[in-house]
Amino acid sequence: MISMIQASMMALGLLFSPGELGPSERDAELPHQPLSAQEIPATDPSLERKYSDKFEQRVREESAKAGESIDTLYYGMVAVLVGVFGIAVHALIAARRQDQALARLASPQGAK
Amino acid sequence: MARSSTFARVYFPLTLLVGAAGLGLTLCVLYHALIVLDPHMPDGSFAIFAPPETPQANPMKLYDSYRIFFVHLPCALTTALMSMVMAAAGVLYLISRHRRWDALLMAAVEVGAVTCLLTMVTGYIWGDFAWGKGWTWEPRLTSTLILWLSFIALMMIRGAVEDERKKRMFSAVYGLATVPLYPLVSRSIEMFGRMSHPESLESLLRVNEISELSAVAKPALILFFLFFLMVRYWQLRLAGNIRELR
Amino acid sequence: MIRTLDLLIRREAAIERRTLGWLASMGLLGVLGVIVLGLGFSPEPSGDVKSALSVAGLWLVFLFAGSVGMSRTFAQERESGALDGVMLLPIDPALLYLAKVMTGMVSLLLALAGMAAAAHIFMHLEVALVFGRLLPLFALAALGYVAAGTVIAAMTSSLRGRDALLAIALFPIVVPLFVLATSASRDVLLGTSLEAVWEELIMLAAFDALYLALGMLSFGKVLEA
Repeated sequence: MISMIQASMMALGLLFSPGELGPSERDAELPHQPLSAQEIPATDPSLERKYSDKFEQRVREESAKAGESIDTLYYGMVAVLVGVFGIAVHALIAARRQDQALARLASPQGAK
Repeated sequence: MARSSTFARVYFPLTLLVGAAGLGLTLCVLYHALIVLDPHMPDGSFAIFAPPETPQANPMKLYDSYRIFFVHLPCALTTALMSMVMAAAGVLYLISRHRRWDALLMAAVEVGAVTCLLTMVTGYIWGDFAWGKGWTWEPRLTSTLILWLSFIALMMIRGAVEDERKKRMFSAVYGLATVPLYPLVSRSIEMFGRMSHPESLESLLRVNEISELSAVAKPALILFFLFFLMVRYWQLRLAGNIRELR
Repeated sequence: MIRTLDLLIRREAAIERRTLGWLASMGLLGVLGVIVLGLGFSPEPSGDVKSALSVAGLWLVFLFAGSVGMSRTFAQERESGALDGVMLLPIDPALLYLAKVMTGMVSLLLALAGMAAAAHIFMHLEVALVFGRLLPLFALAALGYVAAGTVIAAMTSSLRGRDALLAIALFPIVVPLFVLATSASRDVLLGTSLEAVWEELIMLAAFDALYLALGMLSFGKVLEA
């Protein structure tokens, strides 16, 4: 019983956060795990030394964390944009209706 | 049978088309910027930003933060476009005294205020990561804030005037009076020397994939905001027409 | 044309003398500004802080006193209906605008001089000593400020809450002037010669010309609206 609830909760969770679906194709290609210092190919090795390892490590960790939340951000932005677009289209249609009403008023038969 | 005006029969589908294209392209750009692109470039390099003190010696890696540029830069460009539309509409109104130019001016001010705010917000978020503080008294940032204030001031003046003719005349004159601000915003980096604000996206990111996406992002978001300009323009026109009838 | 302009300037000067619009409000604001600055910095600052402070104070007073002064002269003319009388005359409104800008600029500079003297006496700031060197800068900044402000004040003078509106509307527009003028005046106070800020002066003059041109074109339209 409990495992069923757990499973349905997980399914719900997966439905609402497609970004956390586990390793997708993209993730398989480019892992979000922090890379070790040797794994980062530096264009110029002297540049690397400008940053302390600690800072580098922290940024990489945050970057990996951000990688997960970026998917959520993406879907959130899509929702916002589509919503705003919908409101604007609604206003546009209302404007057309208004325009039609005005045109009727102006036309010679409008008085009827 | 409801018949709309000739103008509306062209304008309505055109606006919808612009909106659909803008939304579609913007979603594509977002998908690429957020999902497809990765801070680890294919050739292993990072997106890099060189702080001004030592341009070559000490560039910083941008990690995920550069993704925000695909929104930040088009928003800034749209703001510039809107302020130009505003000034042009002001001139045309003063010449022709036709209400349509006033509607265009006001629509441009409203959309411009929103995009300017978006520019500043996205800039703040990036600055918070890259500079460690979101806001600095840097010429580009300060002048953008001033431009936003001038948009707000125009709306406030409009709100205070009751007479319609006066309202239109004052907006046109005030819109023109903000023109000297544009060189301040656009050439601020040249005028006061480069400080913390990157000069252009291309100077910042030398990876092909990114500059290609940036080339699409600009028209995409501009189209998307243009749609709102068109919707607002029509709304304001109609509101003016109705006021005229009363 | 010159004669008309001369007459208009004399008219403005007469209004100024009778109402003391600019001078009274600006002088009072200037002295108040100095007192507040002096109270705020009770352990008296020294050196570079002092000169930076005096520049900031001067420009602050310049900004607020200027906008209050412009708003007041216009309000008086609107209320007494004098402006309508002048509008009936066959005069190019651009000339009226020029007369207003010139008198406004002179009054603003006079008020600034008074304020510098007050700062010298009360706060021991050496603004008065360098005032001569700063004068070209102040004159150019005042010209641009009054050129833009006269148009905006003509708009807002007939509205509710005109003083606040004028300040809100005017500030964003004249920022280019202030950005240039404050940095140049700081340099001058810290000992650079006026030649070193030549570029800023040229740019100030260019902005002035822009504001003046815009004002001359639109002043009549604003008044008739």
